[in-house]
Amino acid sequence: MLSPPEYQPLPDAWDEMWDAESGVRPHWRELATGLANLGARDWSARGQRIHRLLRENGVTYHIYNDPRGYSRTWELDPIPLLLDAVEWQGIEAGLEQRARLLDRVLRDLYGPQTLLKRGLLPPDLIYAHAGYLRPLLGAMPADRRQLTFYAADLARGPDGRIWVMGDRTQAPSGAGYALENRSVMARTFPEFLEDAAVAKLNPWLEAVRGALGGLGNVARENAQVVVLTPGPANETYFEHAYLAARLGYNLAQGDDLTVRDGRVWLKSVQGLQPVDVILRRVDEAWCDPLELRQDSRLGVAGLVEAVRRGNVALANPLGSGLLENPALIPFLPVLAKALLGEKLLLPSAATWWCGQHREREHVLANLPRLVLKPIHRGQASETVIGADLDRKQLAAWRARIEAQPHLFVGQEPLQLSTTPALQGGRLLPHKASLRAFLVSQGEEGYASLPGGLTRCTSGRLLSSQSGALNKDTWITSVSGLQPLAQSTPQSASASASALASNRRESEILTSRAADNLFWAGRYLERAEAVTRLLRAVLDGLWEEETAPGLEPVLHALMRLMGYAPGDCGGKDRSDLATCVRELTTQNERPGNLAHTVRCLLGCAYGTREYWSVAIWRLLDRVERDWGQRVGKLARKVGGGHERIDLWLGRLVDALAGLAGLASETLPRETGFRYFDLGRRIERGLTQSTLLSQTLQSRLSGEAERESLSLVLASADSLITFRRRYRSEPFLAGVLELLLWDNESPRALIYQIHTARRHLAELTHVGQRCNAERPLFSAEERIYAAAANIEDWRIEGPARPALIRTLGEIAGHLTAASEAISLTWFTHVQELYVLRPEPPRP
Amino acid sequence: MSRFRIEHLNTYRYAHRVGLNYGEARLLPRAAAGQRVLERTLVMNPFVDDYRERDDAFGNRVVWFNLRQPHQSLSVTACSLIERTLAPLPATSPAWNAVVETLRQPLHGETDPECVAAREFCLPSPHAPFEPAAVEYVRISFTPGRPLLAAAADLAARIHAEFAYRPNATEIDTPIAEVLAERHGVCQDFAHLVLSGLRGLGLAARYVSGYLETTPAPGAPILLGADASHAWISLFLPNHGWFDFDPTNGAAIGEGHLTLAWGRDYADVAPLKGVVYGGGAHSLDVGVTVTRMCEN
Repeated sequence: MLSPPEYQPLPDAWDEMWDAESGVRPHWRELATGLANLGARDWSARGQRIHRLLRENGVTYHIYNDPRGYSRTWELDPIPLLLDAVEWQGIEAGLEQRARLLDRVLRDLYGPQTLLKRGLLPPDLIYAHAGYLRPLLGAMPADRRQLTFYAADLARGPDGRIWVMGDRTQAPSGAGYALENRSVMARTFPEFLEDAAVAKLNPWLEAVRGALGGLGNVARENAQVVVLTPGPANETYFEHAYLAARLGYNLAQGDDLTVRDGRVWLKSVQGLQPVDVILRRVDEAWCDPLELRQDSRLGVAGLVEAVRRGNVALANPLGSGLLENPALIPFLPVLAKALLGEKLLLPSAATWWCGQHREREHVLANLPRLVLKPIHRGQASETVIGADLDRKQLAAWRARIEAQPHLFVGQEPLQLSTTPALQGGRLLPHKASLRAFLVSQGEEGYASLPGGLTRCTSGRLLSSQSGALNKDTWITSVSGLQPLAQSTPQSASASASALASNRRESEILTSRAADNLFWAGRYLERAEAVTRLLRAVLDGLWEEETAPGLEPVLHALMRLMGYAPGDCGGKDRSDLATCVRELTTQNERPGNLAHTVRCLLGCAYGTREYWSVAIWRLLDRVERDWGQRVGKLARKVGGGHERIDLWLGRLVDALAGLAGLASETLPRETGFRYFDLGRRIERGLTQSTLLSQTLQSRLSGEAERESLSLVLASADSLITFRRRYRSEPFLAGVLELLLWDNESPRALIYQIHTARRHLAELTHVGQRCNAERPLFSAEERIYAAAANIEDWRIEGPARPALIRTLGEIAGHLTAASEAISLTWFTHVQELYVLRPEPPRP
Repeated sequence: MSRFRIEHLNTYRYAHRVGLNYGEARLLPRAAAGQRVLERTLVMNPFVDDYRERDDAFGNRVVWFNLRQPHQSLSVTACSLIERTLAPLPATSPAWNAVVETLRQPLHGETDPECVAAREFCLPSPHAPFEPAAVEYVRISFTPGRPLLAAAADLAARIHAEFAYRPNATEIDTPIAEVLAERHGVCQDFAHLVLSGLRGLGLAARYVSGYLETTPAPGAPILLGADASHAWISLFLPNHGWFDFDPTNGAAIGEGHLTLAWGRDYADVAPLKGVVYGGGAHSLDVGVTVTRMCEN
């Protein structure tokens, strides 16, 4: 069923794999044999493996208005697109030439503008484009390569030729996905990649690192590079974090950067660090609220001035979006001749700019046949296919073009080639296009990624936003040919120095990352404690008798979750059960479990470049369990307690696993310390609140024992207690175990000691922090209480003092948390755009 | 020939302390036809930590500044001395439709750089977008074959006669169509309306920000700071340059029109732009004094 002979290409399209005359094309044969040899069962297993790997690695693409929210898994087809290495060399040369050409055009338009003065480009085409950023005029050194990254959308026409459909120069995305696709394919089909001698992708990252490192204008040994991202809500945030992690750069949002003395600085826990190069993934118009879009909250005020002074280099530079204008396409052959003295190698989709009389007439006469595009993206009118429009819509387009012709182009539609994709267990022809990626190598031209991101669809339109299927792209050598020479040099010394520079940079922790790690620690600990407690209370409800010790613990739990005692609950058991159900499953409100889990996930997404694959696997499980299962249980009236308990159990396991893995995989120097500080402080807070609430309820001996059991269970210490004291819980023992036993990792004193040790290390590298004093005071209070060991009976004098002490300790811990936040985390003051006084007369 | 001293004072007051302040001022007058700038300085209080002057894409003088110490008010004062010579308009000018033809760029061979640059002002801009109603309004003055400058003077006179000057009735982003329908507004509304219409015809027209000397009523004292910043438009005549008309006052500009900066519309030449971190609510007080110097 999967074997190529049963594959039915479309009658009138070029197929990448199948040739009507000779069958499977030579460069596909190896793979086709492999495909045919795999059984259907193996196929579906490998497909599932791909899906699972992508999901576990957290490979997501955010689609606007998608209810699945943050993390929609990337859809990768197991069948790659194969291109013959010899053909690829030709494509590569064409792309390289095009990148060089566009770079020259860019430098001219932001510099001397000879192309306009010599009449080689009509001025309206430039002046009317939204990507023509006037504040950047004169800010691009004309003597140096400016276009660092270039991407092109390619497709093959029915004639078998490769055409350029569009140029991506602003902040091209997709290379990170292509790299990740490959690593997933390599783990799923290792034997095929080997047999087909597929060109490797990783050396390209080295070329990127070299290009970025070389951009810094400052003669500094290691240029400090950051990746500027709009943040976790952006559709390609995965890629930003991925590239930052792979390249060893800090990931920064606009707020993490500041301009002082005309330089850009990164706010880190080690103080302000100078930034030389920005890998920009924020669209250019949003990069500086002073000189570009004033409504932007994603940029850095003063960034344009820093660029103008040559103190920071951006890749790609601000203003490069101008080159994405499809109206440039028809002028490229002439520009290639004028600027490079070369003939343009790759053909582009036939394009007519309506700003010219004859071209406009052609477009208007052929409206129903052409693809109609505005010259810049993000306008009210999007790209449409004339053939899809009805009479009324065509008339509207005609009017739009006639009113402002210079804003539109018409493009000849290309009948895309097809390539086999797996759909419902069968190989079906999908229309495909390929995004190829290049990076500047200075005088040596551009290095291309040997491969790229293939997208395909069985429908009409191709775009990631509308949810096309993705494919890995293999450049293969047919047997007998030399395997592809790597297009990028990679010397041992180069990678050694890259290693050294990586290490330097990973030590810098942005204030935002520290903030997120600290709070990830706090939320994780809180979620874990609350979940354990909920389970313990649920267990207690199973008992035959109504447990008198249950209610105070439930109240303590409610307090931890930000509920007032009257919010739910009651005297009899069914009221309590309802209450626990509500606490477990209620929709988000500040402090409750749903909220805490969401905050934890938010902090984790915000620092995703720090987390290992294993951690993503657990985070993914937490999100799935929480978002889908528990939420559904809540909505189902009368859902069984067993099921809730089951899912709470899974949640606890995942959370505990997260804590353990994080401790093992976070970088020890700084990141881990902030994370663990958060956990220790939160655990101390939870513990003291729980104990003080339980003590206050003045229960009889039996009931108190029950309460204490629950408290121990919530600290995962019940078994420890029984083993140590060989008895049911009693107060003095519980206090020793949970408060002042230095040896017990659950004891409050242990949390405080650990927190103080982290603080000492952190203040060693950074500033002084005022958290030291409250932590010291908390420690003193515990020792004082421990000394007063005699009489814990309800009527005894020691008990109110202990309750007071626990309250004080909680206060000190809160103060410590605030001091940590004040010392190290970004406190972005609100940004205001000052409205100028318009002229009055 | 006359000399004018201009003092333009801007004071921001913030409800809370501002930590970081980034600003851009287009308050230093530029040279223009019939205008020489003899002196120009910008003084800020408190002192700024970073100050850079440059010419922007349109040749206007821009100051970029940054303050880093906490402050609760900022004053920006521009003082300049300008020598003004009023050149009379040419008595005759080519038909406006012929000008449109000249401006329409043929794509081959060397082109007149002035015309290339002027193309930028033939296109719609954010505050003067394409608006068919504005084109229709303007077309009444631009009858086929009418000389460009005569048509422009007629248009300015019509705006003055048919529109009510009404402060505070409009905002900076009030749509042109609304200004046209309500027949009221302030100087920049009229300028944007006229720009939209003229560009819709295919002409090159730009927005000029500046000052207007206001002559007090006979016997009344001169009120310092009562003069205001003003806006008008300028129209391109190939091979001759740019000619300014003041739609608010219904005529070509006079000696008392002093040019500060020009661009496609208001957004290109806003006198003061700023981004502050912290500060909360803020207010801006503006005072302009234009003084005609005694002839010596």
